[in-house]
Parts: sequence; structure tokens; C-alpha cells
Amino acid sequence: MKKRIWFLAFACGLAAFFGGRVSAAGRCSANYAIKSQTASGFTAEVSIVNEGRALKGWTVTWSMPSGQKIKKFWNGKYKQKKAAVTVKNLASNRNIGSGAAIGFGFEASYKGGNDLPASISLNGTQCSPTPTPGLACEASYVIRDQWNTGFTADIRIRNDGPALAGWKVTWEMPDGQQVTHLWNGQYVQTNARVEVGDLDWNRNIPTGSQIEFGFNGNHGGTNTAPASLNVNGIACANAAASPSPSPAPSATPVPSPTPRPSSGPSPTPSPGGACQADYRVTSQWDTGFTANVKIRNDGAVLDGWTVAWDMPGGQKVTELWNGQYTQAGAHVAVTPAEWNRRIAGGADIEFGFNGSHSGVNAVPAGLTLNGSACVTNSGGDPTPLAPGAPTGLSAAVADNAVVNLVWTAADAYAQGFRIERRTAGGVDWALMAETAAGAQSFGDGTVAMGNDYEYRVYAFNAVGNSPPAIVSASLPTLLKYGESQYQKQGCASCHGKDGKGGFTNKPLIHFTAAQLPSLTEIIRSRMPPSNPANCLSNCAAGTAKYIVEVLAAAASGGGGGGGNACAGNPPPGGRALRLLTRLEYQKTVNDLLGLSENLVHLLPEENRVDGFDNNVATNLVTSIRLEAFLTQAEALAAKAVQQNWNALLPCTRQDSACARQFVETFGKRAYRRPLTTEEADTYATLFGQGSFREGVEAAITHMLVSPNFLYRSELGEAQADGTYKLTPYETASALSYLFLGSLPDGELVSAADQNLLDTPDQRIAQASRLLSLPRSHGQVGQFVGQWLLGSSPYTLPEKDQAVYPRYTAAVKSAMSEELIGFFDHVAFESTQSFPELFTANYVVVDNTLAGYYGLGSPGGSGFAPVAVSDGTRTGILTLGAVLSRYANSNESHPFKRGGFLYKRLLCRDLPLPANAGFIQAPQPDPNATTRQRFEFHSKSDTSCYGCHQYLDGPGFGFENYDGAGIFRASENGQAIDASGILRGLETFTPTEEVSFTDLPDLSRKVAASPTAAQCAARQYYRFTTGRREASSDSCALDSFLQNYSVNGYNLQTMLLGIVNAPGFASRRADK
Amino acid sequence: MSFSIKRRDFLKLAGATGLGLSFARLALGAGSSPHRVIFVYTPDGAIPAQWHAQGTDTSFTLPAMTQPLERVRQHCMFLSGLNMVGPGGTHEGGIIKLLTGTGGQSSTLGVSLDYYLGQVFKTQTIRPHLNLNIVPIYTDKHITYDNNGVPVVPEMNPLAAFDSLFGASADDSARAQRRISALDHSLSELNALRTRLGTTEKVKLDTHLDALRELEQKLQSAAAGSCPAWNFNPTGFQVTRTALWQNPEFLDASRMGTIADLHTDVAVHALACDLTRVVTLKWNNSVHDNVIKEAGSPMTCHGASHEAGQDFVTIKAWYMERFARLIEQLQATPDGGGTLLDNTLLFHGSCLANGSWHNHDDMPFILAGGAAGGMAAGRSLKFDGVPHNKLLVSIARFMGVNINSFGDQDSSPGPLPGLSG
Repeated sequence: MKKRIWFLAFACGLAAFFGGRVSAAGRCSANYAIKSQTASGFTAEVSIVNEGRALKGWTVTWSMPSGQKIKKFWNGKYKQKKAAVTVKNLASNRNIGSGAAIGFGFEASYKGGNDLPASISLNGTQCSPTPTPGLACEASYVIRDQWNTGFTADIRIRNDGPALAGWKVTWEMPDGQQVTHLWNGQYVQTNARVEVGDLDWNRNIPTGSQIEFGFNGNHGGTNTAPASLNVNGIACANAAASPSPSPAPSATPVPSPTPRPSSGPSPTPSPGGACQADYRVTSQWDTGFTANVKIRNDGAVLDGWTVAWDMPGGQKVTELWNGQYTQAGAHVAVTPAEWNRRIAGGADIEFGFNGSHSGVNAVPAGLTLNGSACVTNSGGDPTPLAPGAPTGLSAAVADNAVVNLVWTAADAYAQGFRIERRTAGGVDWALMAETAAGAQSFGDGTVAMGNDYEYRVYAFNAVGNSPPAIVSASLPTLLKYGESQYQKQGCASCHGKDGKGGFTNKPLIHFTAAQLPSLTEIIRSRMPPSNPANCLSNCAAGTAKYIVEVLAAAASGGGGGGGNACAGNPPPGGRALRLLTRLEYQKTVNDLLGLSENLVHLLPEENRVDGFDNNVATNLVTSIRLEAFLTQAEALAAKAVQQNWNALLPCTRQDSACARQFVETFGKRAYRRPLTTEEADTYATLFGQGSFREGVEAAITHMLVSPNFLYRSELGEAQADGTYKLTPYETASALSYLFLGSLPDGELVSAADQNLLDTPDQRIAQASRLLSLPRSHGQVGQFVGQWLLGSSPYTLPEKDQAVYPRYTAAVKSAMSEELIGFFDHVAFESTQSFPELFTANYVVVDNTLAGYYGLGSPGGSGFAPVAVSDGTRTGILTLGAVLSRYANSNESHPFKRGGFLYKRLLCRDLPLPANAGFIQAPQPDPNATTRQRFEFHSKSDTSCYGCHQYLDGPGFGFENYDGAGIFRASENGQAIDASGILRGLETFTPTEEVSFTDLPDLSRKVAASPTAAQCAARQYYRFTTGRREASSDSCALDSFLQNYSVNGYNLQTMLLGIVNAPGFASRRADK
Repeated sequence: MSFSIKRRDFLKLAGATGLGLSFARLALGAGSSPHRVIFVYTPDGAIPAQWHAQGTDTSFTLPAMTQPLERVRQHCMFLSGLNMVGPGGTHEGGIIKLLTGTGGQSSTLGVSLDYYLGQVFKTQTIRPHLNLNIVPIYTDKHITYDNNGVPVVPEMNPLAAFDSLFGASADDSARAQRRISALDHSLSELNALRTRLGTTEKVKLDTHLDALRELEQKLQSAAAGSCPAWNFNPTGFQVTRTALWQNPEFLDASRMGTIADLHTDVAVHALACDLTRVVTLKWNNSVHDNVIKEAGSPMTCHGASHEAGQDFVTIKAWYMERFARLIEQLQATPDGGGTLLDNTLLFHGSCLANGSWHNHDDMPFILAGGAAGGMAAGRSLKFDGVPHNKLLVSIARFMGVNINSFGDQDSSPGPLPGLSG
């Protein structure tokens, strides 16, 4: 402590200089200034003025007085040998004219003291120090409150010098005032002299920042403010402040930004001293805590007692031991248990309790014993601030078996760290460990291969938790790990990539499954020959597995993945409750109650991920959702009872048997499974309180806000192998919501009743049946809309009517129908294959849209195919919905369209632009074409072009279509150029270039692309599972894509095949 | 739309008989008032030279974009030189950084300050966080994130927000009882699920449980204090377009001014009645590509931001005119011994600094109000590249939440100095 303050004394004086030594020379002057400083490092700048003749080349030397070590240097070449520092010029600052200056700077570390060098020399001549600047701080001393013998004062210090990493403020009390209690600092008073030192949390004062502390004191009638305050020995300028107590300036108390003293500046000091209280939070978690209270009776013996305090932050006591408690609002009162009524003078009693808090758990200001205030101590070493989030969190996987986390504490407040883990993409964090304050690493050996994990680490103390630091770690399957190690350990370089012997002619492909253990042992003990310790347990086992199951199998003509590739892999999806989307909710209640209500815009929007509205993890029942569900439940129940009474009831006698029957039949449809007896019993109690009709209405209302209705369950049942299998009813729902977006129909329920949804054939048969129902088309349309637009197919943007007057509500609506109808036509009425989505020489339109596009009428009033002979419409890329969605309200937008092609059609995630800082795109010529303006913009800076090279080419390909989807041959009188280069179509590398002449040409190239064809199915996989795929999905996804691919990218295969993709009906256990 | 006197009578009765919870409003003595905060977001940054106050301390002039605030300048603190630090860039990084103080990448999400503060006060008000969004086009550009970094979807329909806080449902105590009974039943089923599932889907069910408790608490309290009726929705705005294929009225950009007034009205009255302490008022969305006719420019906000010309000035000034009106509305509302503005701190932020550059240095931040918490307004404050995490800390401290850091981008955490003069 002493050392630190000593150092600060010079830091505050801003490069107070070279210990006052005067140099003899005077041919140069030097200034060594510490610009900023932390606990262990600092930045300094040195400037030298050459007062002699001009120099060609220079050397500056000095000696570091307290072991400082330079880490980083600028504007010079430095060498440090122990204390001796030598700096030589760069070519660029070699010459110093007479009277000219040079400057350089560095970062360095220090331990203990950070003394300034005694002298600095230029070319061997010692320089004279430059004068130090003047005052470096400003102080205010304000008497905030004053009464007959006491007062409260606030002191504020602003640091106008370099950053301080510790401080001591001193002053003289002019009227014999005595400090009695001081907060936000530690004080010593010797006669008139008061000295206040920093606390850990406020020791740093950056330049221009300020600190505040305050105190209570006594005075003897006169209470003049001190004449001046010193910081680290330097007198501060007085800030304009009124030294005399001003009568309460404001009716509202000034909220303190810093902790306040435990007893306020009360004009009538409480007697105190009769008792001492110790209130200590002994442990704390998210919303709860345990505290211990100890009271010492310093007065006469007591028979019976009441200890009371006010909870400052809304905390509630939930359970208390060694006493009895009552809580009214914030006020808690505790009275004795039978056995601890009596407290002798000088004796203690102790009790404890559990309580709840809402995130911040401040300790009470003071406790009373039988109405008298106790001297209260809130924890022996109060840490008034919650700790900051750990920094630099990183995760490294060792041997695919242990995840090693390392982090750094942000500050000194942490009492410890909590480490939590979840499976990537999941929502549930599990506590892994709680470490002590000093620990800054953790090894997790409980991970399983084939999983992606996320870890979060947060610091905690009695005040609360820090925000978490989050990091992820990926563990491939054993086989994938083996494959990577086969390369990494250099196996391939000797044995060949294919394991057939390579240049050493030592083939591996003769190993069989039976030899797996011996091969593993060979690798473990002897491989790689250069360093046999480098590939041990998982590495050896994985590599052996890769050799046997992939290399040997491929060499013998078998292998190559296939359906069995996923056997033994855990199912990719976790057990889940899937909240109904707004549209699913609407369809479900309408089917359930025989209504046809429009509810979508009366419910809060979904939390979309990857454009899909049904994400499992992010759609939560928040209060606004629940309130909307409740409001709807009441209205729907009332309406159903009023409109569909007869259809709702399975029986006519309005008695308890009928009530029971209603609960069971209606409940089975609402819950999409039979009710348990207990559930049905509870619903039955709703009857008999009012009329039968009221009972029905109440039962419907209750069911519609039950979690068993709002979520569709994909929890499954535990299987012998540790996985979970969906129940027949859950499978029925999975099928029904996938293809109809609503609850299972009678046939599905009946199949579930008889357990007829278990085999792939049974599931395919049901899926085919559902997909043949007309109402499945709207649901497929939901997928198509969300895939292509990233939103509901009906959410097309508004346009500026001044620019696009023909883009009316009717046109918008027709565009949405076209989007759905076109896919439907290709998949169910035409070739069923992916390429046609991009090569169709027709549109599916109604009269409105045909007129809008300038094409012939389809005849009739509905949507039908109309041939397009001029090539202006070629499938998905030319759909009005797509073109309007990816445009501004008053112009086309090549970047949005290029982004659409990459993200939605090629499943390429373009990285978000980095925080580049200063990119000023030049102003384009407003009379140029859109293409010219956008190109000008994106090519103005190479850092933009890194990503824009992907977006621009395909984006410009759309330029024959304006922002509302109308074909145009020219813009601003100039012919449209829709040619371009598509980069990275299959490989996402900029060197892979595909040139195209116009949009039909680009469409043909997309149609022929395996990446594009597989992306459609990948998007469908996301839509089906309700989540972004992770590495644990790779096997299931590959198998699904493979099936679709070998069937010539048949869209019906895609739609149906998903129900037999690995993992459709199974879930993995939670970790 | 206005609500009935009957409800207020009921509320008084509820208060008199001790029914329900004792909310802070009732517990506080006359003359003291809780602190509140409003987070105002407008999209797509600004043109710094046309935005930032010229001059320092009390001697400054306001350029064109912030000119509408001239008449309330004594209530504002114009901040310059604050940066949003971290690797996340442009609009997408900016919306994450703004209220979370994290590095702005989707892989490192943290809780946002509005949600965080809402959780602190959730036992004291019926709506921990009133989260409003004025006419977004696409709704995936979130600025509010929960404790798990999951975006919190805001309320976009001002009539629904009104109904939830002031609507007719609480008029009828029998109906409130029926609602409580349905929620109780739901709660027991939820608890059965929680017991069965252990840690599986725990976060989801915990959030659900919180929602149930919040709603039950609201029904049982029958709202806090008595709220004077006012002439809500004088233009008779209605939502009739509810079908899937329709764009509902509250997402109709051509009526943005009306919709914004409704949202603002709900927010101010909810604060005045202490139904919430924390409001987020998010204008539109980042990358806002609709024309705002009422603003008087034919360009979209985002398009104009790229051009950085007069159109962007016009649009941004329109937003600031709205901000000035909000300040005036708060000032015209008595609260405690002073005005609602005294007890409310407004924070204006955006996703970008310079809308054309797409950077995060020298953000267009303004504070307003908060005099009762020591905020010394009427000044222009210049900082030198300070991480805006400090500002978030100061806002939290204004709310009485004594933290020293928020987010993870400030290497020497602490509050922003100088706000109290």
C-alpha cells in the first residue's frame, strides 16, 4: 500500500521530474511522461529537444530505476539490457535540426514502484529536464447537510493529470472538525490533518475522470470548509462550490452512485452501542440467497427480543431458522424460538434464513434490537459492487475428451466463478462447477463426443453475478475426430491418404473390425513414430476406427456412408417443448373449436431464427404472449360455446358423466394425447360450480392456456440405449404440424392409439396421405415463404406509392399466392424436381398479376400457369414476391438480392461486416443507374469489397427488375446490364467464378448447382426441426440429403423423406 | 378509446381494503418518487456534424438534426465522443452492442440493460419492462435481449399495450377471478411438467413461470394506484386487418405518426402511474427501408443515411421533433413533488454513429431528464472515445442499481463521469 501511494505522488505531479537533479549539459532537454498506468503496466512518452547543433542520427539512453521492462516501442529502435535502455533513430526520424524535437513512446510493465529515470542522455550528453506542468487536479468540498453538532460532506476530485492508479487526498480541518465515518475511501485523522486513501474499486482515476467520497463529522459550532485539498501531495484547484451548508436544495434525495454509509446522517444520532448486529449473506444464486444474522446484546439481560430490519431491494424471506419471522412489505421482524428467548449481557444470538431476490441483493442499512439501532456490520469485508464479467474466456479441447476453459478475472470483486454448460443451440444451462476467486481455469471431462457445447463463466459475490462470458467448444464424433487426426498426426504422409500404403508401402486397409483393439493399441503405443506420446486414447481409438470403418471399407468397395452411418450416433435433436407459432395456434384452435378466426395479428410475433418462425429455443412464453393467449382463450371459449355447442359435446345429458366425457374427448384433442386421470379429475372439478355451460366454457379456457396445449411435446420416452423415442401421439403431432400446421386429424390419432406410427413405412404412408390433402399446400407454402423470404409468405413490404403506384394490396396478395402456387405446381403437378424451380418457362398467376407482369391472362378467376415466351420470368429468381421483398420501398437493391441468393438459396452465411471504423463511401451520381451507383459504393473500399464481391455480381443480375418486380429493359435512359460473375457457387471461394449474361442464364446455373439443390433441403430440415443444424446433425442431415440427391433432387422426396431421416422420431438425452 | 370510471373505483377499493400487493407507489411517501428510464432508439445513425452539439458545457448550438431539441435543451445532455467498442460491425453489430455493451457479435450475446433493469424492479411494478416497437418492417433487428441473450420480441400493437395496462379486463373482478383460476390451473400443470423434466427445457419453463407470476400479480393487484383516465386514442385508430395475408394497421408505415403517438401515450401513462419503471421505445428497425411520409422526405431512412444529405437531416430531425415532444409530455406530467421528467432519465441511441460510414465511434447519444437523480442537463459533454458501457453503468446507477460494469467492452469499468455536473 505504501509503495503504491509513494509512486502516485509523482504520477500526480505529471512527470514530476528526474528527482530534481539538474544536468550539467543543457545541449538538450528531455521530458519523460507517464501517460497511463495500470496495476502492472504503463505507457510513457519521451520527448527530446535538441538544443545543440543539428544531428544526423541519434541515440537516447537512460536507466530504468525500478526494474521496468519495455514491451512495445514506437518511433524508435530500442534495446533493453537489465536497467539500461538504449533507443536509436529510425531511418525516418534520423535527422534532428537545431531546436527541433523528437518523440517516441513505449508500453512497459512494472512491479511495485514505477520510478522515473534519474536522467536521460542524447548521444551521450545528459539532457536537462523540462519543467513540470502545473496543477493536475480539481477538488470540491461540499457540506451537504449540517445540524447542531454534526455534518455530512461530499468531496469530489477530478484528475486533470495523467491516469492515476491509486490516490491519497489530504486536507487540514480549520475548525477542529472530526471525521466520524467515511465512505468510499479509508481515512486517518491526526489532529486537524485528514488523510483519505483509495479502496480497491476506486483506485483508478483516468484522466478527466473523477472520484467521490463522503463523510459524517462532528463540529463545535463553526464548520468552515478547508482552504484546499491535496491529491498525492499536490494542491488541487478549488472547484466552484459553496462551502456553506445550503438548506435542502431538493425535495428528492440525491441517489448515490456509490455505496452509502450504513447509518445515514441523521440529526439525532441513535443511541447505538446497546447491541451489535452482523448480517452476512453466506450464499447466493440466481434468485435466492441464504443469510446469517448475529446479534450481540451489549445492554442488560433480555428475556424476549425482536430483531427488525428493512429489506432494501424487495427481498423476501422464505424460510427462517432459530427464530420466528413476519414480513410486511420490506419490513422483517424476527422473534425468538422457544429456547433462545434469553440473551445475557454481552451474549450472542444467531439465526439464519433463506430469501428470494430479484438480481441485486443489497444488504439492509441497519438492524434494530427491541427498537434500538444496533451497530451494524454487513459482512466483515464488504464488497459493495458486483464483479465484472470474466475476460478472455477461451476453450481448448484436449484429445476430444476434455474441454479446458481459461479466463481472466475482470476485477478484484469476484468471490468465485460459476461455470455452466449447455448443448449448443439448447437453452438449458447446467452448473458444472463453482471455483474460488483465484481460479481462472476449469477442465470439463464430462463432455461427450459428437456434441457442440457452449460454456458460460460468470463471477459472483454477495452483491450479485457478473454478466457471463460465453465460449463454445465442438467435439466431433469419434470417427470424425479420427479422420482429422489421421491427417494431423501425419498418418497420411506415410500410409497414403487412402491408407493403401503411400510411399512407405505400409498399407492399413487390411485391418478388420475384429482387429480394432489391437490396431488401437499399436497406434497408442507406437504411433506416430516421431512422437508416440502424441496420439493416445481418443486419438488412437478414433484413428483406428477411421482406418477400419472408412479406409479399409472403401478399399474393399463397401462403406461410403449410407443409412447405417448414423447407427450408434446419438439423435441430433434434444428433447423439447415446441411453442405453437401464431399460425399453428390459429389453425389448431379453429380445428379444435370449429371456428374460422383470424388471430395471427392479435398475437405477438415469433422470434425468427434463420428466417423460420418455429425456432425451438427462442420462442418463449413471455408475459405479453401469455396475456394474449389468455385473452384469446376466453374469447374463443365463449364463441365456441355460443356457436358450436352441439358439435362440442359428445353427449346430451348435462350431468357429471357427460362432463367427464367432454373433458376426456375434448382434452385429448387439445392436448394431442389422452389426459391423465389426474388431469381429467382436475378439469371435472370445474363443473358443478356454475351452470354446465359455464363448466364447458371454463374447461376450454383453462385448456387453451395450459402448457400442454401451448407447447407440442417432443420429449419422448426413455429407451434402453439412453435415447428418447417420441411417443405415438408425439409422432402424430410431429407429422401433423409438419404437413398441416395443425393438430392431428382423426386418422392420425387413431394410428397413434394403435401404435401404428413406429415404422418408416407407416410414417411415410401417413406423410403421403397428409401431403395429398389440399390444406397441406398452405403449410408447404409456409415453408416456401419462410425459406425464400425469411418471413411469412404474406409479409411483403409496403412500397412508395409515388414510385410504384401499381404495387397495390391486391398485387401484393397475388404475389404471395404466386410464390406458394408456383412451388406447389412444380412439386405436385409438373416434374417434381428442383431444377424446374429455376428454369420454368411459365408463371402461375391470376388475372391481377398477369396484368401486372404484362403477360396473357390465365383465364378464369384463379391462379393457373401462363406460358412466358420472352424469357422475362424463369421461376424463383423472378417471382414478384422475391423481387419486391429484396428491394427498397422506392428502388431495387442489388445487395439485398445478392444476399438473398447466397443466404437463402446457397445456404452460405456471409459474415457480418466488421467494425471497420472509417469507411466513407463517396457520393454516387444520382443520375447513374442503380447498378452504377451500387457498384461505385461497394468498390470504394477494399475492406467492403471482400464480401461485396460475392453480393454484387448476382445482385446486379436482377437489375432487369425494379423494386416492385416489374421487368425493365432500361433505367434512366440507359440499357440495363444484367451480366455478372457469381463467385464461389459450389466452394464459396472467390476464385471459383461463374459468368452469366442475364438472369435467365444465372437461373440456369443455380438450377444445375448441387449446392443450391441441397440448400433447399437443408432449409427444409431447419424448418422441420425448428433449429439451425449443428455438427451433431451432420450424419442425419447427410443421410437426408443423400436420399434426396439420389432421387434426382425430387421435391416430394425432400418433403416426405424427412419423416424417415435419422432422428425424426428420436431425441438424445440431455447432458 | 378510454376506460371507465368504474375501474378506478374498483382500484381505490382494492387499495383501501389492502387487497393485492403493496406496490412501491403506495409505499412511497408524498414528494418522493421512484426513478424511471426510457430507452429511445432511432435507426441508422446520424451525420455527426449535423447532429452533435457544437460547443461545450452550457455554451453550445444545435445543428440541423438536433435543432428540434433547442426548445428543450435545458433538459438534455448532448453527449459526444462515446464509442460502442467491440468487433461487431455496422447495423447488425450496433443493435447488439447498444444496450448489451457486448462486442456485438451474435456468438457473444448478453443481457440488455432495459431487460436487466426490468428484472430488478419486477417485484415492484406490474410490468417489469414495457417494450414497445413503432412500426418495424421486418422484426428481426432486436435491441433487447434476455438473460440468455435470446432476443425479446417487443409489443408492436399500441392498442394491445394499452389493453394490457389500462384495459377493461380489470373492470370486472369476477372476470379477474376467472382469469386467476385459469392461470392457477396452468401453473399447476406447468409445475408438474417442471418436476417431471428437471433440467430439460428449464429455461423455457422458468420464463413461462415468470410470465404466469407476472400476470397473476397484475390480476391480483388490479393495478397500482389509481390512474386518471385520459383521452386515449383520440383519432379512433383500430386494428381490423387481422388475417394472415393482411398487413395489420399497426404495421402500416403511412400511419406512423398516429401509431407512435399511441405507443408514446401508453408509455408516459404507464410511467406516471408507476405501472412500470423501464420503457423501451424503439422506432422502426435498423436498416429502415420505408418512406416516412410525415417526415417530409421521399427517401427511406436507410437510403437517406447512405447518401448523408438533406433527406437524412430531414428524417432525423423528424425523429428528434418526436423526441422533444416526449420530453415535453413528461415535463407536463406532475410526479411526486416535481415532474415526471425530473424522475425519468431518457436515453437516445442508435445502431450506428455515422450512418454513411457504418461505424460506432462518436455515437449519437443524448440523455434527457433525470434532474431528481442529479443529472445536470442543459449541457454539451465531450468525451474522448470512452466506451459507452460507462453510460450504461450510469443509467443503471440512476435507477439505484449499484453496478460498476455492464457488458464486457470497458477495460476500466465504472460510470460515465461528469453527468451530475
